[in-house]
Amino acid sequence: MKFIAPLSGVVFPITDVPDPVFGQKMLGDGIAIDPVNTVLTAPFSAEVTQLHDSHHALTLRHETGLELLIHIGLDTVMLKGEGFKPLVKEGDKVTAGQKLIEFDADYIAQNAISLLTMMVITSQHEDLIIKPESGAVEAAKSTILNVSFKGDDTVSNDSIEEVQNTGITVSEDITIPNPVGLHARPAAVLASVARSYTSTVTLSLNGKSSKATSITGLLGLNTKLGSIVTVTVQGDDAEKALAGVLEAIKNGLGEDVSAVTAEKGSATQQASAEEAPLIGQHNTDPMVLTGVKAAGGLAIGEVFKVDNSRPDIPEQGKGDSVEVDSLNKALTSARTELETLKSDLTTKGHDSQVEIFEAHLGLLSDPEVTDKTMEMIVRGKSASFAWHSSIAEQSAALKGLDNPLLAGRAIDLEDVGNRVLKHLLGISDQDRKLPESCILITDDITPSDIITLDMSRVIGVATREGGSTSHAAIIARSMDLPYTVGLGEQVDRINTGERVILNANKASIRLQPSDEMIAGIHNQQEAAKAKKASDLTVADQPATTVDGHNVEVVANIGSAKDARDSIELGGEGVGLLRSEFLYMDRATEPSEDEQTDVYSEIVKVLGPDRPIIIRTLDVGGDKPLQYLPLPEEENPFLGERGIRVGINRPSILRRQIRAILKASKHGRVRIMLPMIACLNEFRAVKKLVQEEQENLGIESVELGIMIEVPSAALMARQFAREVDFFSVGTNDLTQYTLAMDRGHPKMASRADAMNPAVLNLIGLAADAAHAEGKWVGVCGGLASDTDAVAMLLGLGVDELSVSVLSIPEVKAKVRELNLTACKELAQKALTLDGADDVRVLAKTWGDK
Amino acid sequence: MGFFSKLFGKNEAEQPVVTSQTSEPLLQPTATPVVFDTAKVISLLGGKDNIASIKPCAYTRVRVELKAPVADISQYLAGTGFDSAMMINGQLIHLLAGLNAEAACTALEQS
Repeated sequence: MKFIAPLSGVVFPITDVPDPVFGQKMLGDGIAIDPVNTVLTAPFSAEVTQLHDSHHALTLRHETGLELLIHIGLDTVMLKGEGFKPLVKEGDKVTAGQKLIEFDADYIAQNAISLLTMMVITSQHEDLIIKPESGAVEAAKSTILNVSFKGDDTVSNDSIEEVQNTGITVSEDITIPNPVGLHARPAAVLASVARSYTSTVTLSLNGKSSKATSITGLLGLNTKLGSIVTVTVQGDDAEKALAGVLEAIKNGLGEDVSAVTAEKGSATQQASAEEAPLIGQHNTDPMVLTGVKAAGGLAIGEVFKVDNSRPDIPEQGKGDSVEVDSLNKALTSARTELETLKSDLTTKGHDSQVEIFEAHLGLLSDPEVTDKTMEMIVRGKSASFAWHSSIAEQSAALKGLDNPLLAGRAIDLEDVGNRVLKHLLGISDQDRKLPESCILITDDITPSDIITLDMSRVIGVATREGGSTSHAAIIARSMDLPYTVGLGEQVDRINTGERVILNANKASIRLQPSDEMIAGIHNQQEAAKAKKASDLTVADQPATTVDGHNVEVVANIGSAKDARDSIELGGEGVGLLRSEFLYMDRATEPSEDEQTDVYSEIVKVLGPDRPIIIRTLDVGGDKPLQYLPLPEEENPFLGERGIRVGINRPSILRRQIRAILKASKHGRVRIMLPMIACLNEFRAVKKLVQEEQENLGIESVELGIMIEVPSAALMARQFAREVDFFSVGTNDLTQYTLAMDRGHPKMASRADAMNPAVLNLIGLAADAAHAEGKWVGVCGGLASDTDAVAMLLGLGVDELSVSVLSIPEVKAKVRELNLTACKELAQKALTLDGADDVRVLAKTWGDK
Repeated sequence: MGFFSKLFGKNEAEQPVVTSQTSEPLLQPTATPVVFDTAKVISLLGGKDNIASIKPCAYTRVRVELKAPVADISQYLAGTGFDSAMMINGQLIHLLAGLNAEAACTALEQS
């Protein structure tokens, strides 16, 4: 194959490049060019698998799997992006000659060591032959490199290739001392060290492994400072190789790690040993495993541990035609399955889930995967081996990018991959018949897995990985499925067939529970079930306290279906419509008309009497949208998020406001703005809303704000004069007040909204609202927490917006309360020392 | 400081690692000496008096600032010892001289 010159200029031998990483071919063989133009173009049609944060380098993958790193200039990483303008992003498919990166040649020439631009083949090919051209070349026209393989054998991928079975095998764990893990340079050095031995050196971390000679594979391990990797060496000089590799890693692989090693006590050891923290719940009971709460609930059942290990896959095929045939059959079966799932979900009205499976169907016919698979089959591999390798390679590449959006796609890809693989290996889902009352334990679970779970058998789910903010958690909550994540290595202590208690409210699993414990839990569950049934019978009655104070109980929803369900369960309206659902998982922004239709449909479901609060788009760098590129931020929760996105891109906000205003004709619509921190933000958006009201000739629509940034609560008096209402987002308010990430495995349990600091802020907001004749609601998680209802009423909250399923329970709770007593409780709580004290007070107070 | 950390460590000065003459570079590809036709190049640049500043840069280049702009000179460099020229604009030109950039710069300055 011929690579077309990516720049005009003069060809320069790679060995003359004054940087050993390139000059000594540590990253691989290739060619350099001294450019005379300023736009880098693609040397062949490829996928952009990596774009460096500093925009000075990118990696392209050819359809054969060959990977090419193009690096503009030397030491240009130090320029931190200055002088470079990327014209593509990771994951883009580009054609030969397409513009990739534009750069300021004079700036780079004066601020970096060199403008020499290197093209290096970083994928490992033992039989690669490259013939560089010389002299002057013209961008997008001249050939610069001729690449072929001996015997025209195609590319093999080191990270999946089978380990050769000769010599002895030795292995040892080592802690990575490099401040940012094994990034390109240390990986290159490690690869060259590994290459100096005949044995095969493999590094593994968290179930992923890579040959040490594969730089991309090493990068894909995503090592961090303090990561403990296992080095396995197999071959004739294994012992020598192991010692050499360990020594090289220990010495930093060319990076100065002396500072880090000196502080060994702080960084390295903490990462390895699980120390008991000074505060927090000391897990004194060795039979209790704790994770992170994702969806609440209680379940006693039999463990079914999903075998996440790689099934036994034969490498050698039985001939092209047999293998191709079985691949096609498996693909067809998978396609049929997905189509069935899709139509099932469509009839049930789970539109967003339908889109997930549509995406899966798309991946099934992705030529990147199928072509690669075919190619390997032709080379004599079995269909299952070829398919598994292609999927693993693709998904490893996606995951290695440290980009949450692409990593999410990797999970989808693996999901599809396993579906097909099961067919190829003849494992049907029936083979893993789940027991009755089953608690599923797995490494990670995809949204599609959760939706398709056999809910007549599965009563709870717990996973090794994952944070509570994932999409799967939201679905589990809507299905009332107890779900705990982030158990980590504790998962290894749980065995299939064992009986355990999953207390997802506390994110814990009790191993070997006694019969008394189980009986106790059973009784609690029965009582809860009975209570639920009785709450439901009076769900449509108003929520009035014993002393005659009426509290509005409304729903948090994300679809028309939720709206209908909420009415069934006694919801008096909607306190929060998350408009994000309209924007997520799609390639383009929803048009104004589409939005108008969707909002109108929901407003009509609620009818003319029930109010509905529509919150404007609440996204940020942590949940990027394809068509709304938000820069990767150091700290997305303090960055462009919530209303800040709309303020910086008024056209998107304006379209949404217009759509909401148009839908307001059908009912009692209110607009709510998320993440307001300062008055000028509110005023700017209010002006926009007023302009559009005039343009559309629509009467005034109430405009309120979320109280979720402490500044808004502290300045509630000033805000109250100008807004129509407040609604407290307790989850973010807690996170921002305590500076604790609620999805953080170690912080989550301490980020409790019942902390007096948070309650104080809620009280401030409520007092300010009432002083100005406005009302205040709570739409965060605390409103659905029945232990907190009395507290919120006592602080002066007028409206509780809760998850659909909690409506009957919360209404029933309100009916038990006496507002005067609630006020006393709240005043007492504000004087306490911490969230734990408040929780104790709330519990004992309820017993009185 | 090991071998690699010397090579890869960030330079304290802004000086590139390899171009300096005084401190012996760790890795120095050898350049084939070239005779530069400086007279021709200077005339292409509008004469000696048109040169505002001249300095070696980016390892392989001579950066020339001109007082008055000139047209693209890159196609006229054959036989001058320079490989090519990059016209940043009419008044700012990078002359490409490969590994001989410093020598080329000195030659231009001295002619």
